[in-house]
Amino acid sequence: MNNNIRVNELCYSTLSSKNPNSFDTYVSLGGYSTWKNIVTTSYDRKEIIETILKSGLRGRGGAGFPTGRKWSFINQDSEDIKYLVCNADESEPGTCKDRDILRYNPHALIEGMLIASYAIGANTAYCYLRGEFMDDVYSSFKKALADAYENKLIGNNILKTNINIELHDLIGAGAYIVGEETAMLESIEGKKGFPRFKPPFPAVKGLFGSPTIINNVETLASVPKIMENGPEWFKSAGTKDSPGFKCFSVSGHVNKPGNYEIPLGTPFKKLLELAGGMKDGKKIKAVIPGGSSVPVVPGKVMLETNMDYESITQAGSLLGSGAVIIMDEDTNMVEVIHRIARFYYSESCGQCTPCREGTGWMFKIIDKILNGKANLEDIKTLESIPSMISGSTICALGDAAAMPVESFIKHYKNEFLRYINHENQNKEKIFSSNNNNEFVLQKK
Amino acid sequence: MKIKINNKDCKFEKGDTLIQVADRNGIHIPRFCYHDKLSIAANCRMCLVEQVGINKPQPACSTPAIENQEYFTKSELAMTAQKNTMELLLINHPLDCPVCDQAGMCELQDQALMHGRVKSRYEQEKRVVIDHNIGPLIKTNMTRCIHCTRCVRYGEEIAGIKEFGVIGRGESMEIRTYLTSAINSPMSGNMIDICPVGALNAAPSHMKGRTWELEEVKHISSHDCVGSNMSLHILDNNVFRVVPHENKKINEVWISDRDRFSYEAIDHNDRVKKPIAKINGRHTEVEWDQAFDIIKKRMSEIDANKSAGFISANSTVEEQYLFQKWLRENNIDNIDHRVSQSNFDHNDKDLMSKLDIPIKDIENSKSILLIDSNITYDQPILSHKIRKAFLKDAKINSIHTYNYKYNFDTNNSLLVNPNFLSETLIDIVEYLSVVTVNDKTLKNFNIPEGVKKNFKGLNNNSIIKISNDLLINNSLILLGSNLINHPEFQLFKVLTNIISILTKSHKGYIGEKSNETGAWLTGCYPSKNKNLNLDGKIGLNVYESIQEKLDLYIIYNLDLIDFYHYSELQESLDSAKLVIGFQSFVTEEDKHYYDIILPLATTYESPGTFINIENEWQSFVQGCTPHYTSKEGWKILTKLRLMQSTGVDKSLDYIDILNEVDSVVRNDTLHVKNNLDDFDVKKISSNKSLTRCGGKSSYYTDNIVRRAPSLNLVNSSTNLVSVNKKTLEQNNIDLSKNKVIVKQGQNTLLAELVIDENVSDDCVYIINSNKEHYDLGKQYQTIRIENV
Amino acid sequence: MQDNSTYKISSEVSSKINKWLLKFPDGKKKPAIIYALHLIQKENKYIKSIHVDALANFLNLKNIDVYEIAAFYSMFELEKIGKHTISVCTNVSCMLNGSDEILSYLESKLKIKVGRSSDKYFLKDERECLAACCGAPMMQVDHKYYENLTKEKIDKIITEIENE
Ligand SMILES: Cc1cc2nc3c(=O)[nH]c(=O)nc-3n(C[C@H](O)[C@H](O)[C@H](O)COP(=O)(O)O)c2cc1C
Ligand code: SF4
Ligand code: FES
Repeated sequence: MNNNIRVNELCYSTLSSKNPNSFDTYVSLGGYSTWKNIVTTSYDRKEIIETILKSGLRGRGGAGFPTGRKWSFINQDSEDIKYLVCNADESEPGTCKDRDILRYNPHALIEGMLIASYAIGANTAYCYLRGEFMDDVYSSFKKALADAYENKLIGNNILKTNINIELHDLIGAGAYIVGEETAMLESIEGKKGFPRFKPPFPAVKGLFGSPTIINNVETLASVPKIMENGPEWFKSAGTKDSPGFKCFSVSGHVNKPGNYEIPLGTPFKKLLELAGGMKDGKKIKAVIPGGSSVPVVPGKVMLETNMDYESITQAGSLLGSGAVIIMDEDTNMVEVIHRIARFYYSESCGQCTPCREGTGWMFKIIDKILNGKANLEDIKTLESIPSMISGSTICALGDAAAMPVESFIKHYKNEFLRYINHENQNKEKIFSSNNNNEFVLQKK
Repeated sequence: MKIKINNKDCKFEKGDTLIQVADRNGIHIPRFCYHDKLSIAANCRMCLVEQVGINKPQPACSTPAIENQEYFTKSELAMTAQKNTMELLLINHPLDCPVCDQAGMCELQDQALMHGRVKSRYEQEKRVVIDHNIGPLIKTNMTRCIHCTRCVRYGEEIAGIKEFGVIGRGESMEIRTYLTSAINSPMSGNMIDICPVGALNAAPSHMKGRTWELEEVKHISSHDCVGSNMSLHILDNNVFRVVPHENKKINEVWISDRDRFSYEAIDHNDRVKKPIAKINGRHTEVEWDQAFDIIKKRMSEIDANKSAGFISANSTVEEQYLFQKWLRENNIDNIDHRVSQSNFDHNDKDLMSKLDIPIKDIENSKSILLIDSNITYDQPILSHKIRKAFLKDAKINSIHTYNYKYNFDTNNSLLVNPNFLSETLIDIVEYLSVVTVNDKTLKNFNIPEGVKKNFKGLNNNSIIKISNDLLINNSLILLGSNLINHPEFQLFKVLTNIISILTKSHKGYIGEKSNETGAWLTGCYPSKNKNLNLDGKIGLNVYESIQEKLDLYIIYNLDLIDFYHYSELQESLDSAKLVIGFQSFVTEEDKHYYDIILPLATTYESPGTFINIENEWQSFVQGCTPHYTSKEGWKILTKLRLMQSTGVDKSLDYIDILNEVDSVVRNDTLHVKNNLDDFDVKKISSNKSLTRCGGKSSYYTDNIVRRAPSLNLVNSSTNLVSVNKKTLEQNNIDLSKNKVIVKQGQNTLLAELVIDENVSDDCVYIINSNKEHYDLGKQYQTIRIENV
Repeated sequence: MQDNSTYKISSEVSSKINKWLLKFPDGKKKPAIIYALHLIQKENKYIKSIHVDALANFLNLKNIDVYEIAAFYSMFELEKIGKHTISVCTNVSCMLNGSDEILSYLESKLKIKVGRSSDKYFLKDERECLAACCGAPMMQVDHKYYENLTKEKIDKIITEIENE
C-alpha cells in the first residue's frame, strides 16, 4: 500500500512467516546467530554496550532513556550479583505492542535478554509479564523459553562455553503501577507494587539489593538485530536524534487499528494512512500520541507532526510508549478524560500523598462536571491540581495522571464549560456516578 | 564535606540525607513519614525543599547531601510544594482536633497552622475508615490516618513483629491488622507515640484529657531489670499516661507495653487505703500513729532471732537500705529479697544478677547465646538490642526449655527438658575443654573437678555448633530470668560463668526485678556485709526463715504468690505471732494472714533510685503524691527507726537518706568469691516423671503489673496447659478433648489443653498468670496430667 | 474473607511453589506469594483467610504479608465469585469503540451489574487496559482474549460457555 515506508523490519520481522513464533522460524531467519557468536567468541561486553550506545536505541517503555547509557551505569568491575529484568507488564492504556512481540516473536526477546544479561554481567534475568497474560501470551512465552533451554542457548554452560545465564518467567497479578520499574522490583521480591524512591537507582541497588537493569520488551527485542546488522543499519531508519524503528499501537477511530513498526520520524499522516484512515470518513479531532499518560494533541497539530521523540515533544506531548489513540470529531472529551482520570485514581498505589489524594480529587471533580453538578470554581480547582501533583511524587504515575487532565482542559475547556452551563445533559453515562461511595475500590 | 542550607554552611558526612544535616543544624524541615529510628519511606512528601539547579522540589528525607550543593527549605518553590502536600493531606483528614487525643502534640495540626489554607477547597465527601477492635491497648481512629506507614515500619523493623500492614491501594488503602486480629506484641504501644496524628491512641487514656493540661515527670520503670526511662504525664495528681523518655544508652526512644500501661493499677481494688490492724481478731482501719504504736509494742514482745523480713527487689535502693537498717538495728538478721529463688546452694559463688557489658553494647555482639530466656516478652528492650545485633548479622543461638517466640531468628536452638539443662551446659563445658586445650590465656583457669567428673562424651551436633559460635570474638551469654526458681539456678549461673571464661564471652544473668542490684548492695540478704558496718552474724535466707516457722514475719511490697515457697509460707504465717505488711496492694485472701498492714505508696507516688542490670543508678522524683493515706516507704521506715532503734535521734529527711546511701553503698562492689576450685555439682534431681515448667506471664510479674487491667486483657485466655503430642500420648491423654486435669500433690486444676510442640518432652508447660496456678503447686516439681 | 473451615495446601500446589522458589536467591520466600496465590485461586475461585493462613504457614511468613499481596493486586478475588470471570476492558481505546455498550449488553444478558457476580458469572469491574487496544472492544473470559466484540460475538461466546 505504502511502498516508501519500511514496515515491520525489526521486532515484528517474523510476522510475514507462517509460524512466526516458532523456534525454527526464528532460527531460519538468522535468529540466535548473534548470541551464538557472542558466547563462542567471548565477545567483549563493553563492545556490546558500545554498539547499542552507537545505535542510539532509546527505551521503548515510555521514558525513552538511551539504552546503551543505561547499561553503562552498571559497574562492571564490581563482584556483585547483577540482574536483568524485562518489563513485560504492558499496561499503559492504548499500548498493545509488547503483547504482539511476545505473541509473534518471543525468541527475539529471549535473545535480546541474553545479550543484555551478558553485556551487563548478569547471570540471572527475569521476564515479568502482567498477570492478565496468564492464559494468553504467558503460555506461549514459556514454550519459547523451554525451546531455547532445550537448545542449550540458556542455562548452565551455554553451548559448552562455561557461560551461565538463567532466564526466568514471572507473572504479575493486576496492577498498572508494577510497570514502573522499581515497583516491578518490589513485586518480584513478593511485595506490594510500591515504587521505590530514587536515588539509589536500580543500576546501583535494584533487585534483592543488587545492581539491576530494567528494560522494556520492545527495547530488548530490538537488540539482536542491531547487533547482527550493526548500528548503522539501525540508524538508516529514523531521524538523527530518534534513530531506528518503533512499534506504534494505533487504536481508536481508525479503520485498521493495529501495531505498526515504522521508522521514527514518519509523518503522523502516513501512520494514519497505514491504519486505514479515519473510521466512517469522519474528521480527526484529537490524538493521544504516546499512551494515556501523555498530553492530548489536537488533530490539526498532529497532522503536521512526525512520529519521533523530538517532534512530538514540540507538539506539546510525548512519544511515551507509542500508543497512538485517535479520536474523531464526535468524541466527547470530558468523557474521555473522565475515563482516564478514573484509571489513575484506581491504579494509584496510594503510597505517596500527592498522587493518592490528588488522583481522587481530580476524578471526583471531573465526575461532578460530567454530572452537571459543577460550577466554575470547580474547574478552577481542577486546573490547579495537576501542578500540585507533578514533580512531587515518588514515581512518574503522578505526572502521568496530571498531564492528561492539564492538557484536556487546556485544549477543550469549552467542552467542560458546556457541562457547567448544562448544555449537554441528555447523554447516557454508564460510569459516572453522583455517589462517590460506589467508587470505593477496596476489596471488602 | 559541606553544603549550604538557607545560606548557612553545614557540615555533613557521606551518606547523610538532607533532613539529617538540617536537623543537626537546627533547621526545621516539616515531615511525617520520616523518623530517625525507622527506614526511609519518603511517602508523605511533606519535606520537599529546593535544591539549587533543579526545578523539581526534592524530598529532604531521602535526598543525599551532595558536596557544595545549595538548598533552600523556605524558598517559594519549597513553600509551594509543602503547602500543596498539606492541602492534599487534609482533603481526607477529619477536622476533629477538638476531640482528638493528639491535639496539642499533633504534627499535622502544627503543620496545618503553618502551611494550610484557611478554607478547604475540597468539597467532596471525605474518606471514612471503619475501626476494628485491635485489643485493649491501642484505640484506633483510622479515618485520621495519613498513611505515613511509620507504624508498619515500626512493626517490621523495630518490634520485629509485623502487626499492621498496608491493605489495598490508592485512596482506599488502609493501615490495619490481619483481618481483625488484636495487637499483642510486647512493645506495641510505641506505635502510639510515633503515629504523627491521632490515628493510634492509648486506649486507657483515650479521650480522658488534653495534652496541654498535663504535667510531665521523668521516671524509671520498675517492671524489669532494664531501667527504661519514661515520662509520667500527670493530671490532677493521677498518672494520666506514660510515654518513653529518651535515653540513648538504655531504652532509646522506646518502652515496653508493660512499662507504659502498668500505671493503671494504682487505684486497683486491692489498694490498701488506710493502715489496718487486727484488733480482737478483726481487721480494723486505724490511724497511722496507732499503727506505729502497735508495731512498736508487739515487736518488742518477740525475740529478734525468731523474726524475719522480706523485701521486694522492686523496691527502691532507699527503701531497701532503710529496711535492712531498721531490722538490723533491732537485731533482726534474717533478711532476704530472693523470695522467688528455690534453692540456695553455691551461694558463695557469683550471685548477683548483672550484665558485664553496657546494655547499649549488646547490639555489637557478634554471637549471642540465650539460655532459657523468654527475652522478647520478659525484657523487651534487651530483646530489641539483640534484634539489632541480629540485623547486623550476629549469630543468635538458644538453649531453652520451651521454644520461645523471639523477634529475631536463631541459628541453632536446642530444646531440653529443664531437668537436663545442667547436663547440657556441662556438655558445652566438656566440648570447650577440648577445643581450648591449647589456649595459653586459660592457663590459670582450671575447670573444677566437680564439673569434670560429669563429663560423659559428646554426641550432640547442636552443642558443638552453639559452642563454636561462642568462640567468636565479642560474644555474649545471657541466662534468662525464667529459671530463677529452678532448683539448679545457682548451678546454671556457675556453669554459665565457666563457659564465659572458657570462651571469653561476656555474660549476663538477667534478673527479674528492677532493683536486684540495689537489694544486694544494700545488704538485703542474710550474709554479713562489712561495708555496711554491720557486725551482724549471718542470718537465715528466705527459705530457711520460712521453714523455721518464726514468730514474726515482715513482708515489704510483695504478694504472697511472689514467694516460691508460697504454700510453706502460708503455713508459717498462720502459726506466727505477728505478721506485718508494708503493702500498696493486698488481696482479700492474703489480708487474712496479716496482723498489721501499712499502706505503702507505689513507685509512681514515691521518689527513689533503681540500679539496673548494667549497674546504672537512676533516681527519680515522685510522680504524684501518695493516693489515699498511703505513705512513701522511706518515710514509714524512718519513722519506725526513730521510734524503735537506739541512736537514731532525729528525724531524717530524704536528702539525708540519699547522702547516706550514697556514701555507704555507692562505691561498694560486692566482693564475691570467684574461686571455683571447690565447686561441686550436686545433682539435685534427675526427675524421670512429668515436670511442671513455664515462667510467669509477662503481665503477671509483679504486684503492680498483675493488677493493670488493660494489660491483663491482652492475653485473656489464662488457664492453659501446653504439652507436646508425644508426651500426651505417653500419658494416655485423649487428644480429641480440649480439657485436662492437672494434679500436683493433693491439688488439682481443670485446664484447657494446648498441644504444643514447643514444649520439651515430659513437661507440662503452664504460664503462671493467675493465683490458681500458684495454688496448684510449684514449678519444676512433679505434675500429673489426666483426662477429664 | 474470614472462614472457619480448614485448608491444607495440596501436594501438587506445594511442589509447584517449591519449584518456583528455585528462581530466586536462597532463602527468599516472599517472591512466591503472587504465584502461589494464583495457584490457590485457580483451585478455589477466590482467596479466603484460611488460604492466606495456610500459605503464610507454608512459606513461613506472617499472615499480614500474604494478605497485603492478596489485597493489593486486582486479580485476586477476596469475595465469593461465580464460575466464570468476564472482564470487559473499558479503557480509552475500547471506550472509543463502544465498550460501554458491550458492557451494558452483558449486564442485561447475564442479569448482573458490573462488579457483581451470579453463581455462574462474575462481571469484573475492570479498571485496567488489557493490552489489546487494536482489537477494541475486547474482553477476557477466564483470562482468554476475545477481541473486536459485537453483540453477536458475545452471544456466541456465552452460548459456548452455557453448552460446556
Ligand atoms: C506508572 C508507570 C507505568 C509504567 N508502565 C510500564 C509498562 O507497562 N511497560 C514498560 O515497559 N514500561 C513501563 N513504565 C516505564 C518503566 O518505568 C521503565 O522506564 C521502563 O521499563 C524502562 O525500560 P526502557 O528503558 O527499555 O524503556 C512505566 C512507568 C510508569 C511511571
Ligand atoms: S496509623 Fe499513624 S503511624 Fe500508622 S500510617 Fe497512619 S498516620 Fe502513620
Ligand atoms: S518526611 Fe520526607 S517524604 Fe515524608
